[in-house]
Amino acid sequence: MHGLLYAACLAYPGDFRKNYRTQIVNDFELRRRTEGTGAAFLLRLLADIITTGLSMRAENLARDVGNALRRLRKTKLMAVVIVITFALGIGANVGVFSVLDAILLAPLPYPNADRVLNFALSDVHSTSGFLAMSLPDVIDLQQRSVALRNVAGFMEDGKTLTGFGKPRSLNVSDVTYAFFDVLGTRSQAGRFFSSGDARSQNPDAIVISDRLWRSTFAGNPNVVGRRVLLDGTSYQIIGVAPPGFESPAPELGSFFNADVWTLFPQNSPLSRRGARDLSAIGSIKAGFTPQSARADMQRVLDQLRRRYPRYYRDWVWSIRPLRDALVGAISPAALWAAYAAAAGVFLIMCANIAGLLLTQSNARTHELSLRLALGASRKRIASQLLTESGVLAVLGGAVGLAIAFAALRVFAGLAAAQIPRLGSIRIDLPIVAYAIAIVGLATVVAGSAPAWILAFSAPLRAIKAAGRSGSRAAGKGFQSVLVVAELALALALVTSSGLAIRSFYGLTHADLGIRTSGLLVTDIYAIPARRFPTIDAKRALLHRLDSALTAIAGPRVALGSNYPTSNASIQMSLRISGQPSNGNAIAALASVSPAYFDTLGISLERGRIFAAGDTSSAAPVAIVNGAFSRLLRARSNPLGTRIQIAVPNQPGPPVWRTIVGQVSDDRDGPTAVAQPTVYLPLDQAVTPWITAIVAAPDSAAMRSKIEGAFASLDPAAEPPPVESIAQRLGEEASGARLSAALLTVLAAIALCLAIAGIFAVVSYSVSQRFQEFGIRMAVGSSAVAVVRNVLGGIAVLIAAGVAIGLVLAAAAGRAIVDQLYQVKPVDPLVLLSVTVLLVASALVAALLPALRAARIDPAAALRYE
Amino acid sequence: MPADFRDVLPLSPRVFYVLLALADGEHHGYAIAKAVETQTGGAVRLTPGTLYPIIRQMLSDGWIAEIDHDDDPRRRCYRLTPRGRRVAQAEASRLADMVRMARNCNFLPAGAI
Repeated sequence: MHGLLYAACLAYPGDFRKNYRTQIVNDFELRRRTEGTGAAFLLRLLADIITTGLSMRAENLARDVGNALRRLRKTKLMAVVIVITFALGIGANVGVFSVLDAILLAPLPYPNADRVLNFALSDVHSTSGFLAMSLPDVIDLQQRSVALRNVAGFMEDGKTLTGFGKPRSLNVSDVTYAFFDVLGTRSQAGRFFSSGDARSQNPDAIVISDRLWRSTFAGNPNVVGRRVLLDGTSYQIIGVAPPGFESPAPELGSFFNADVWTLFPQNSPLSRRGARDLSAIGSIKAGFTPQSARADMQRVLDQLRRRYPRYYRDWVWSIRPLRDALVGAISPAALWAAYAAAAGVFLIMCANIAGLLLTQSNARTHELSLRLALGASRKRIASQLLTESGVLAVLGGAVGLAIAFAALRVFAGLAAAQIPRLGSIRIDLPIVAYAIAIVGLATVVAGSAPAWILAFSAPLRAIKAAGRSGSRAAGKGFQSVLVVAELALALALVTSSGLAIRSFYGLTHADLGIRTSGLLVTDIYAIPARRFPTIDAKRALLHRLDSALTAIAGPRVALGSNYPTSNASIQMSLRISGQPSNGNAIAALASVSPAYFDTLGISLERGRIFAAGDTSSAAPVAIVNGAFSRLLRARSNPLGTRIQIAVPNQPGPPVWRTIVGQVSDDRDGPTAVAQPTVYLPLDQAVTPWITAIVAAPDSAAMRSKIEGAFASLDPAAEPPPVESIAQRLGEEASGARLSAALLTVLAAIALCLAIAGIFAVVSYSVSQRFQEFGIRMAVGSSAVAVVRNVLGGIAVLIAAGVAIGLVLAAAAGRAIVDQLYQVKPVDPLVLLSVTVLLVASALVAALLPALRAARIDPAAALRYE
Repeated sequence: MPADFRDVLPLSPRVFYVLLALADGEHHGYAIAKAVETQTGGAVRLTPGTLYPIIRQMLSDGWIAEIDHDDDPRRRCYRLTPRGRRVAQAEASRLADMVRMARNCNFLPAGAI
């Protein structure tokens, strides 16, 4: 029972508790013995103790805050410096956290999101991670897996809606029937697809988006059951997706704003086992973990490998949570790295502020000793000092939040295209709670050591010595530790940002084997099938387009089914004459016009490039790249070898073609490897879509001329957007740019804080030794000797900071190694330049106060006080 | 009412009861609580949890003083200081004024109190 009382007494402030706890317990004991009071009284006593204890604490806090505010008004400059420091550290931390929260921690717009995996089969020979799945892959996985409840495949598409005023081109998502079930989304009207819909020979059921429902059908609930024309084919609306629902687009790391969802046709040429063009997601059954689901999927793949060796032998699973697939250009690891950097900035901030608070020790010794003499306990004084730090942290936190959210708005504006959901950052409850926790943590970490040191070092005898310079200041050793820690952390952070910048430079300056400037490229243009239904009509259109573009931009104009970085590459399996058809041969396919190689800067290595004579009626030919030649058994000259490769939407069996040339390799991006590629003459392999590559200086006029050339083909179809190749490559590197930018901002803050910390500590120590320097100079010491004396002291600390910092930097580099591109985690150039930068700025920060010491007038110094 | 006590009045009822309990001499904490309980006919019961914060405040304001009890050093006794007595008197006369006003308004029957 007494234990209970003692525990409850913890509610009281410490000094009261120490003085009165015994009496309270004694009184209770006395009352119990004399009156035999029972449990009711004990309960009342406990309640009284807790409520009065807490209210006494609240009163103390209010009084301390009042005192702190009064005191801060007296030391305005110091207060402002500390508030700014808090603002930078807390702002950086909360800012990065809110990005992390919005992108990684906030719920996805799918009820089932946390139980959904995104996966694909990827070729072991290719480094690019998430390729795709074929329809049979999806169906087999659905049937054979025990851990996945549902599996769905989907791809992006476009169709034209007619019958509602002007024809409208719509974003279409072709999905397998379980798509909405996997995500756990429910329809707001009608229903979603069923397996029955999928079994029909020509599935014509569609689901429309909330946006299309409201814009085109005025939100009419009777829309379910209506038929609409898409690309001239009649479809029946069976349901409406809920507001705000967007298809995931894992291959883009983002979302696809579909207007219509159609069922993927089961019998199309694209439904063959080798045609891996679908994104895939699957929901994990209750009772299974993501790990057990992975194991189960591996089991299915092993089965398929035994059954269809040629399609699965060299293919492995790439599996990740759907959430990780939708973070856009910036990887989860890069976000966590930025958060770690923000934590580093936070620690530097705490060290910096602790150092600043300690510089007050001499100025306050007199005040604190006086309060001790008047009977205040040291603990009480420490808590008063901690309250002062708390008030500063709250002010700094408020300023920091304002800065963080202004910066985030700018950041979101710059990066919204590359990072989905960045626009959704707002100050909500978790962010506020986090900010409050961070302010509390900052108060304790930055303020408690100085409060303790000041309160427990202020001696009663200091009343005599107060203010006398030359007396050893409290916490001097601790200050040195802080300087070393700040420098070490700053070195690690600046090094990480240096590595990120080098990676970004490497990514944007990688040799992709193509011209990376002076080229304009178009997005994919789907040739309108209604106006140009036959291969011949499409071929004629391509000729018209080629002449129109040549008229605009001269001879270096190319058409192709795709180009490096176009995200439109197609993989096809092929047969090579003289080699068994073991399914190993899969190549990227590109149908290109003769000028393609010259325009893109791909050089001829052997044989010839396509010529005007390679028409549909001429002998079928192909050109391959170096990577393809290495695939051939003999690894020899490919010229003359005959191959057979299918072309999308071409009727009839694939023909045997003769390889007539070999060109240099190109890559889709800095992290991709050169794919074995087969080029076919556009005339001999007309694809249902086309892209254009034009060598011309970038200007708005040129772009609109190129768009005009497309618009003249069919006024009803939208021309594809035109971009410079540099823009396209920039998009590829945007993740690296964002993470380099984030790390650089954080490193800059870290560097500034560390330098400011050194400046403050050295200034303080010079002011402490004012008299000493005066005497030294009076007895003949030169100004140079004084400067050397001051710098000598700090140089030891800088050396220690750099030594520890280099170790930390190596660890940090190793931690972000997965995000580095062509840079080693321990990069001598980065380490050397960062060390030089840091040492130089630290010495400058120390030199300024040192010079002041050298200018001391000995006479004035001796009169001081 | 003496002018120098105006800013501390009115006293909280509990503080006033403690002052009243100490009017007739020194007491330790438990005795103070018992006296208050008796004087109010059991209506006001101070637990040690609320009593000692009041005592600490009155000590630091100089209204009461602490005396060591000879037979038990752990048990502290308290007595009224002259200042404490004057505060109690000021509060009593403030209350008397209010009672007079209440009576003038016929809020209290003439015979009561």
